[in-house]
Amino acid sequence: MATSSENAATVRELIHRVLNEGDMSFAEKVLSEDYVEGSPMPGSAGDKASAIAMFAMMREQSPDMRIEVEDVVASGSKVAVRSTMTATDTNGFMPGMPPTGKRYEMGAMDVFTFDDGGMNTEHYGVYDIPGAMVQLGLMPAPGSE
Amino acid sequence: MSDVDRNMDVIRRLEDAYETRDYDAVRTLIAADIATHTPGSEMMPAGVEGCIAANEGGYAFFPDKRAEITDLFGEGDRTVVHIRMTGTNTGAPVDWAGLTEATNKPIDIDWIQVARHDAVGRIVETWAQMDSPKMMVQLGAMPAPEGM
Repeated sequence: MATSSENAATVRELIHRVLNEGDMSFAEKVLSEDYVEGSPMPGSAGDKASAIAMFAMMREQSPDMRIEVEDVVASGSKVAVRSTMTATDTNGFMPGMPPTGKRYEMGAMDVFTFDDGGMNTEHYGVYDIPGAMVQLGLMPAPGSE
Repeated sequence: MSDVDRNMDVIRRLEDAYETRDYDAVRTLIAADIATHTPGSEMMPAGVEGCIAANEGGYAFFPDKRAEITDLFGEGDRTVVHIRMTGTNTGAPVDWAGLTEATNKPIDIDWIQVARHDAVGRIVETWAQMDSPKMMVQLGAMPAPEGM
């Protein structure tokens, strides 16, 4: 049975290899076939294929994206990660948005769930999207109106 | 009770205290000089009084506000809590979202918090993210994202 520290190591490797280096094969390997995305993008099926498509989309929008893991809390089947993503808005903050070419930082909280075999079965997360959009000039700063 | 179990109990008691607006209890569960790292917390008073002001602000916007703990675990001196927050914006306009009138619309959003506890379990530091984009979409302050 996978221990919580093994699960934590898998999450660190997932962030490093898949999101920072663009190696989608590692996501294919560690996300279970019945994976459920608890924070799906609008219109997404929230399954394994759409999760991997989202990782690829993030890399496509900001190819130099880098996630710095600041804290990992792991217990039983759960792993929480606090991180900051730094990136250049090269191809639009989201698909369809005009690129600003600016650098931005975005705080994130993610929680991953694992099965006994160490496969990632579920994920949910919350991201400081408004903070990033304010840095890119895509949204006014709160209280500035 | 292990330290982690005790710390998780502090989180449960804190949510109860926020819900009953029992701020004497909040002040025993959170250190007076707590450091908070939540987007927007820089606009609140420092320390535990900022946490209390944020809870009161929530009730001002959403008088029927409810918080449900959907996930809670811990390791070492840290706890992680996932909260589902619901409510209806029948109170004050959500000014930080650019709204000038109450919308009477319901919200149903997530937030995730990591807390650091001291040797007796009090919360001394927190890092949190609230799904404010979802809230803004639900209130009609922002269009739903397209093509994502």
